Formats: sequence, C-alpha cells, structure tokens
Amino acid sequence: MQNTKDMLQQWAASAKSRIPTGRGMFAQHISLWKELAANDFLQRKTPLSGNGLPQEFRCDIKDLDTHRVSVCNGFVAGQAGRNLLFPDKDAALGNAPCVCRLQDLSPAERERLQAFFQAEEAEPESGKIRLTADFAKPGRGADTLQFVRLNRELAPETLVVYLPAGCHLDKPLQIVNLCLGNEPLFLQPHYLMLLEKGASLSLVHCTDSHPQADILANALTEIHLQAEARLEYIQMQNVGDRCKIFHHIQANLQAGAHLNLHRMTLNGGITQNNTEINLLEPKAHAEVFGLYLQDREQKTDNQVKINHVAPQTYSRELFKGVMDDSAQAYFKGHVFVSPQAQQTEAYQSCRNLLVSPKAQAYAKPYLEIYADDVQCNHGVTVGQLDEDALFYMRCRGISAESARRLLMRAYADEILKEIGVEELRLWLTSLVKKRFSGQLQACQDCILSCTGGEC
Amino acid sequence: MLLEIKDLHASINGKPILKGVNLHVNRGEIHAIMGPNGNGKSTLASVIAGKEMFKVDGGQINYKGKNLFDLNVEERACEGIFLGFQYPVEIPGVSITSFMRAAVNQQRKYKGLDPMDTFAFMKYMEEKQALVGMTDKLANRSVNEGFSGGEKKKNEIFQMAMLQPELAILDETDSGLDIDALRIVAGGVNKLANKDNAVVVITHYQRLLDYIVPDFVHVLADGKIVKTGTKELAKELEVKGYDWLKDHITDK
Amino acid sequence: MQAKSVKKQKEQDEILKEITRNDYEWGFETAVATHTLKKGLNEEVVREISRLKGEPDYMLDFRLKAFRQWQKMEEPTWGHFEHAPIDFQDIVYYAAPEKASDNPLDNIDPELLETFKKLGIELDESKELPKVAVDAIMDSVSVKTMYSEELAKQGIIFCSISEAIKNHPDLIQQYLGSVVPAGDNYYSALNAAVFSDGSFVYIPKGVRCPMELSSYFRINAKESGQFERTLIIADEGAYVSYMEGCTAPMRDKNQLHAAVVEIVVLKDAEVKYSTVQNWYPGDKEGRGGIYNFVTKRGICKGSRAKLSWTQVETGSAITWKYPSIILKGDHSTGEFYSVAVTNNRQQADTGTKMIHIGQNTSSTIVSKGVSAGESQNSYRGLVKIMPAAEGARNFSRCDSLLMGNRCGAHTWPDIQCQNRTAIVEHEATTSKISEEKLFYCRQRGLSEEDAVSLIVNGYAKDVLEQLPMEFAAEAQKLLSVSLEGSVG
Repeated sequence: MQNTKDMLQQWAASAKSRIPTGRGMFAQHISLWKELAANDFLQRKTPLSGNGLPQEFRCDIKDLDTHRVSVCNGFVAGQAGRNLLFPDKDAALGNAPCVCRLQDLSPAERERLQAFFQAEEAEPESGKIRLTADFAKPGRGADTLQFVRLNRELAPETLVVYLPAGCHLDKPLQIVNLCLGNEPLFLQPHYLMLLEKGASLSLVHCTDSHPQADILANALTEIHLQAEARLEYIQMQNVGDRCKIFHHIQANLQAGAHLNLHRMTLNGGITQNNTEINLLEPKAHAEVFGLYLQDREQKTDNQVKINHVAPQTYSRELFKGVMDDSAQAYFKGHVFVSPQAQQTEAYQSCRNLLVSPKAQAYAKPYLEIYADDVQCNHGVTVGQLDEDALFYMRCRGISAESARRLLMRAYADEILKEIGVEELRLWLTSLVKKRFSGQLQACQDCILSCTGGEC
Repeated sequence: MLLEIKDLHASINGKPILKGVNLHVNRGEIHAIMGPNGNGKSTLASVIAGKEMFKVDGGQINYKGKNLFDLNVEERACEGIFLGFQYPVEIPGVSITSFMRAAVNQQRKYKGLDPMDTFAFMKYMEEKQALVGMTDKLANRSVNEGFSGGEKKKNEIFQMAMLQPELAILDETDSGLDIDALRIVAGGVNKLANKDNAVVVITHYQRLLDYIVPDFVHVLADGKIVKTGTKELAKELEVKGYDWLKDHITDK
Repeated sequence: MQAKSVKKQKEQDEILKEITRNDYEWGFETAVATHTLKKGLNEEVVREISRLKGEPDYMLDFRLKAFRQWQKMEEPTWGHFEHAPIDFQDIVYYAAPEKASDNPLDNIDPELLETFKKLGIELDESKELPKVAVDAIMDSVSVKTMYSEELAKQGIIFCSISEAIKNHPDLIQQYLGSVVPAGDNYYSALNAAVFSDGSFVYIPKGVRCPMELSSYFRINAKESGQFERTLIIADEGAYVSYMEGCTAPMRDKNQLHAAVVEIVVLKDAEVKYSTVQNWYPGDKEGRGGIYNFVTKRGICKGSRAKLSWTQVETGSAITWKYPSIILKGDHSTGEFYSVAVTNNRQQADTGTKMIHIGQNTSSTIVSKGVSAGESQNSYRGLVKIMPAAEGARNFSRCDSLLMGNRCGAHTWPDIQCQNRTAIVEHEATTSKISEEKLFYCRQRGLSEEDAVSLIVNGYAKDVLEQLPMEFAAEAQKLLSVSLEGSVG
C-alpha cells in the first residue's frame, strides 16, 4: 500500500519535469505527463483489489455472438485459476485457447509468455539506425517506454489471451472493459495477447464508463503474432466526458502475420490512442484504421508508429475524424522503414472534417525511409463537407440537415466497412448514424445497458 | 401558369449576370433556352433551383402561384422543381440507391405521404431504371463517382424519372454526349414529358432539339431573353449562328 | 594542321578529364588580398564589424541587441542531420577582399573579376548579354552591383545592404528585422549580430522591375563564415523577380553560412525569389563542405500580395532552411517550389512554413527530394491556418526519390487547421527511381547517367519550370552533375 503510494508520488514528481515544452511544430498538446503532474493527480485512487466490483455486464450488440470476458477497473472478472473461455478448465498455455489472469498461470508459463514481450523494452527502436528529430528529445518514443513501465509496475492484474498454433476460435472474443466509480480513479488495464503460428482471432474490445465517472487510465495492450497468425482487433471507446484514456497498443508481427487494428473513438473527454507496430519479419502485414467523432470540448490524439524492420512488409493506415463544437483532433503517423526493409509498402492517410467554427485539426504524417525499393505515400486533408454535393442533394429534395448527415455517414463508412465482424459493423454503423443525428447524448445515459443501438 | 419569371436580375460576386429575364412556362409545354456560352443560361437554372451563391438583385419568380424566393433549395425540389446538372456532382460513399431513397422519401414526407418501404422502393426503382436503361451495377455505385460523361447524364434523367418533377430544367444535358447517349437521354425526357409537367431544356446547340421538340425556343444573350420563337428559330440559329442575332438585336 | 589536331586532342582530353572528375566544378580558390578579423566572436568583434563598415549608431544597437540575445540561445537540435559541435570561436566573422569597398569597376581586383567570370557571372555592363543586374558578394562584402544607375531612373533601389544602411536609413529601420526578428532563432540572431553584407532591393509603387535582379554569393577566404543579409521590399503593385546563386572553394574544413533573407510584399505586389544553391558539398567521404543554416521568410502584407520561393538545392554539406511565407493580406498567395538533391554524405533538412492569417489566402507547396549515395534528405513543412483565415486553401505535394539503398528520404509535415472553412490537402510519395524507365531510356541508347539525369529532370519539372530562364539551364545541369556517380 505504502509502496504504491510512494511510487505514485515519484511518478508525479518526475512528471513535472517531463511535460512536453516544445512550441510550434514541436508542441504536444495531449500528454499523460500533464495528467500525472496535475495538482489533483495524487488524490486519485489506484484500486488494488477488485473486490466488490460487478462480475458480468451486458453489452448486447444485436445478434453479436461472442465469447465474453469482463474487465472492470483493470480487474478481470471470473473465477480465479480458471480458463475464462472454458470455466471448467484450468488456466494453462497448452493445446487449447486460453483467456485468463496472468497470475493464474504457473511461473514457468508466465516466464514463457513474458519472454515475448520483453525484448522490445530493451531496444524498442531496433530497426533505427540513428536518432531522428522525433526521438532525440523526450518525445513519444521515450515517453511510451515510460508509460509501459508505469503500467507494468502498477497493473494489479493482467488479462492474457492465448491461442496455440493453428487455433481458430469459433466466434469472436469480446472483452468488455468497464470503468466505474464514484471517486476519481487512476487505472492500469493491461492485456497480453499471444497468437502462435497460424492462429487466428477476432477480438472486440469495448471500453465503456459510467457517464459521470472520473477516470484516468494508462492502458496497455501487448500483442505478439507468430508466423502466419491473424488478429482482427476492434477497439471501441465510448466513455464519459470526464474520462481521460491513454491506451497504448504495441504489436510485434512475425513472418506473414496479419494485424487489422480498428480504433474507434465514439466518445471520451481526452483520448490518446498510441499504436506501435513492429513488422519484424518478411511479409508481415498491418492495417490500422481509426475513426474519431468528437464534439463539445473533447480531444483525441492518435499516434501511430509503424516500424518496417524486415523486407516485403506492408502497412496501411487510414484515420478519419469529424470534429464538432470546440473539439480538437491530433494525428501523428510515423512510418519508419529500415535499410533492410526493401520492397516495403506503406500507406498512410488522415482525413478530417471540421463542422463547427471552433473545431480544430492537427496532423503530422511522417515518413522516415532508409530503403530505396519502397512504395510509400501519405496524404492528409482537412476540410468541410463538399458544398456542391450538399447543393446537389438539396436539389433532389433532401433537407440540408439530412444531406449533411448522409455525407458524414458516407465519410465514416469508409472506415466502418473494414470491420470484419458483421454484426458489430452494423451496430457501429447505426451508432455512428445516431451520433451524427445528435441522438447520442441520450445513448450516453444508457451506455451500461446499450441494447444494440436502439435505445 | 406553372412558372412566371418577371424582370429577373441576378449577380455573382457583384458581377451582374441576369439583367431582366422574363419567361412564362405552362404545364404541358417544352421550352428550349439557347444562347452563346457565358450569357446567363446556367445562372438562370441555378437561380430557379435556389443556389445561394447567386444574388437575386431584383424581379420575381412565381411558381405554382407561390413566390419562389420564399422557398429554400430542398423545398423547391419538393415542390417539383428538378434541375438536371450540367456537371453532376460526385458523392463518394453514397450509393445511388440510398441517395434516391432519401430524396424520394423526403419528398413524400413533404407532401404528407408515408415513406416507401424498402420493397416498394426497390420495385419502383427497377421500373425507372428500365426506362433509362440503367444497370443494377451502376445503381449500386456511389453517386456519379467514376461515371463516364454519358453515365452521369443518364443518371440525371434516371433521377428525374424517380422524382417525377412538375418542372424539369435540364442544363446542357446534351454536352459531352455521343449520339447514342443523346438518343437515350432525349428518349427518357420524351417519355417523362406530359400534359401535367413542363420541361425547360437549356442547350448551346440545336442538335438536342432534333430529339426533343420544343414548343418554344428562347434566346438568352447578355442576361436577357432577346428573342422567342418556335422550333424554326433554333434551325435558323443553327444556320446563321449567334452573331446573326447580335446584328438582329442592334437593328432593333 | 598538325598543331590543330593536337590542340583538338588536348581539348578532348580536357573534356574527358572534366567529365570523369565527378567533382565540384566551382571549387577553385582566388588569390586575392583579404582583410580579415581574428577568429572568434565577442562584443568587441561585433563593434569592430560595425566600425569597419562605418555604420550609423542604430545599426550598432541592432547588432549588439542581437548578439546579447544570441548569447542566451541554444543551437536548434531538431533537424534530421548530424554534425560535430560547431566551435563558434573558431570562425572568422569578417573577411573582405582588399581594395573592394564601394569602388567602380576599374578598381576591382582583376582576380575578382576573373573569379566571377569563371563562375559565369559577367560583371561588365558593357557586354551584350541578357540583362540581369547582379550584386556580386565575395566573403563579407559586396564587390559590385550592376545597373544600379539605370534602375534608379525608375526609382528602383538595388544596392548592397551596407550602402542601404547609409543611404536609405528610413527603409532599413522600418523593415530590417521586421519579418525575421533578430531573436527568431539561433542563426538569425547570429546573423543579425555579425552580418557583413548582402543585397537590398526596393521597388517603388506600381513599378515592374524591367530586368531580373540577382545576387551571387561566393565564399573564398579560409575559415571564414559568411553571414549575408538580404532585404527586399516590393511596394504596392510592384513586381520583381530575384535570383540568387552561390559557390565556395573546396576545403577540408566545414564553413558556416548563416544568412537571413527578408521579403516584404505590400498590397497587389509580387515577388518571385529563385535560388540555385550550390555551396561546396564536401567530398565523397563527407570531409569539408558548407553548413548552410539559413532563415528566409517573407510576408504578404497587403491584399492580393504574392510571394513565390523557388529553390534548387544541390550543394552544402548540411542544409537547414525553410523559406516561409506569412499570408497576412486577404487574398494573398504563397508558393514554394523546391528541388533538393543530396548525394554522397550530404544532409538536407529543408521545406517551408505557410502561415495563413488573412481571408481567402492560398498557398501551394511542391517539394521534390532526390537522395543518392549515403545522404539524408528531409522535407519539413508547416501549414498553419489561423482562426481568422476564412476560406484559406493549401495544397502540398512532397515527393521523394531514392537512388541506392544507403540513403534516406524523409517527410516531416505538420498541418494545423483552426478554421473550418479552410481546405488543406497534403500528399506525398516516396519511391525509387523506376527501373522500367531507366531500361526504356537505355534501350533507346542513353547512357545510364544520362537516363538518370533525364528522369530526374522530368521528376523535378514542376519546380524547374518556375525558374527564370536564365537560371533554368544552369539548374538542370547542376542536377545532373550532383547525381554523377550515384548509379551503377
């Protein structure tokens, strides 16, 4: 107890000197350091036990049939020692798929698992041949490492997702992550995912909160995909305006592995989605999609670093956002291609719609390339809905408001259509539709028992 | 009278384009507005449709006895005014089907009718597709995105068929069309024209009028209708060119 | 007959030697008596520079203020390049060819005339050449400004900045440091403290400058830095096209060039600024070469003002330069066209900033990078749309071409949009030079180097087209020369 408190005090003290101070091109508006250095940070509770938390939540996305695992305030619900996919079986990294707490595994298994996630801590930029402008100062790279360390130090529990070689789950796995509490909290949700050779999984990861919850979260997902493994990871964030979610997803991909990552930010006060993907072996393939729909004073920051370390690797990023009211969106994409990564393909795109006079959008699409036989491009746009299209639609009798909504939906569809889990795609589509027609306020109040978007 | 335009003046960015247009259109009539490019033909169409970029500086437009300037763009559309665009707009991500369903149902709502259900709508749409020879494949694509010039114009006529306007204004619908596409488009217009509606065809060339026979031909030059006649006038223009008309005006 | 063929043979040998040398063509040194200050920088040196130049007090104050700011500043470290620490006390801050101070042509050392002639700069106005008025600057001083008198008839002022400080104090006091304040950055502060010469241009209201104006910069002295300062003012409705070129001898040691260029464009005026930068890039192993740390910025102050930067960057060991435009006047226009070629161990970090303040302002950025050898080439750019910039537009296109697998090509754009009616578009691609195109050219009989040169010139065409004719041919040639030895 004392230990944790001391630790937090140390973090808070060191955070003060680490708040990014860059101006102009180097300004960083959203940083966990700012939150750690805030005056009221130490008043936040850091829960050490999951006792008394609810064990099961509804998240009834219409017709979505999943294996469901619940996590509340970073604590995994379900019986200790068990494989949460098959509650009659013990947690083990054997021949069967397993979802469990890290501490429920044997020490040898824990060691085996953690071996996959340590290497990159020692040398996160293994492909880098020189310090870049970006990393030479306490920027993202260095910060990320610190926050990974913070999470590992403080996370009371870790949820493990394990699929043995060749394994394929009959239906998607759903992690329902809920943030609850009547007092300000500082949470460290932590997930480790290992997909062995040729295994494949669809994962739906919902993060919801009580609308009034005051949460600061430093979440961490670590993923290792062995050769030919495939993971579709759909993350949905729909938390209250007082929540500040910092979620770092780090993935290592071996030969021929595929990662499809979707980061959907439907609501939240401050959201920083960090993504770092290492394409370590030939033919590793990663696609990252992001959709952020912001209004009021909300802020999102999507930072994506993709390291092409091996030849013939592929990455594609597509981020789209709609900013209303005084919302602000930040995007920083960084494609790094090491000298060995010949025949790399990397595509990066960020599109922003500003729909109110005070909304703002910022984008830094970086390419850092040290190999010559590459196909890389990036594009950024900031703009409004196409006035000609609006007029055209109104000429056909569609009201200005409907026309606007139709265009916004079409705009979001480009991201939504990439979601492979159909029921989820339909549900999200209807949710987005609602969001654009201004009905989501009502939806927020029923986040805990969302009935497939029909509330 | 369906449409009555009196002494219409309009400008863009302070530059006057229309300088006193007068025009009367009754149901059951087909009008052609001809004239040299850059003399206000498309502006007239846009002003009738309600494009905000043009400023109306004077005059009146009465439509079905209502002051048109009291209605916004979509209300005019719901009242039965259809503008066939010279350059139909591309709308990525919105399929023609969902676009038309939104339009049809919104117009029905305006008229106090229930929205069409999916089944009825699809059937209705198939019917109209057949009329202009539009394939399903095209109908499932995003509105005008990647369409050829002919496909875009065909799509305009298809929409006209879907929305059954009372007043259709076709702005340079013939531009960029080969002869086959021109026949299909004109055929569609002829099928749709009847005693209860009116069609105003805006065109630079007489060519279209071989297929759509107008009751009246107007020549718009320097922001005014300078001459009105029958289809013979179009023929005369074709032979003598617009310069002939200029002399004609000066003579007057 | 015999003699003639021997001569021809000799000529051919020369040409062959010239071509295979693959070297920096402008690397010779001029033996000219030079007056230099001692190495090192302190307040006394700043005072001495001002005294040597016979400046009025206001300039000394300007310099001292800048120097004190500089002392408190730190070198920027964010550029994507590396170099050993620069010892600012190991640099000569003032070097002037003797006999050169504001004298007519006869008094110029013939060696100097010869030098500029070798560089292709004819300082003799009597020669029948396309009329380009040149301000020739060697090390710290302006050697000769051409056609000043002829231009003066239209009220155009084209002279060295030293003369302007003496003769046009009103303009200098109004505008010097108004676009790039001394304290803007480390190198602009250094420049403001020690700048020795540069060009000054004033185009009066409604005047269209009848000829291209040009500055030619030459570093000659050993261990000296060059700190020139250029100020261009285009009054309402005026027009001028201005070109800048530069070279330096080959030396083993790095030399510092920290220039400042300020441009003020008033209502309805237009300025076109073209640069062909060809400072000595260092040798194949990265020894020597110029550190080119330059601050260039213009302001479109009035409505409908237009400023266009075009740059062809082939020289320098390190380039750190971001010609920028502040679009303050409504409907003002900014353009940035750049080709940056790096080869061997060169490092370039260059780009632009477009700051949209006024309504309906528009900017275009076209950047073409070519990296070869073991070089590093970065585009870095900022597009900022301020809240008041209703209807602002920006279009950016930044392409990189890689030749060989030991070089790097990087893009670091930053887009900040604070107005919803703005439209900002940024596109970039990175790829290697197309094998198919190379093959196609070679199949038609071109040598590999010619094919590369052809393809690169095609790739850079959008930018090269922006150059004044007098410059375009030189730029094309430079691109080819810079890339010699980069394939195969």
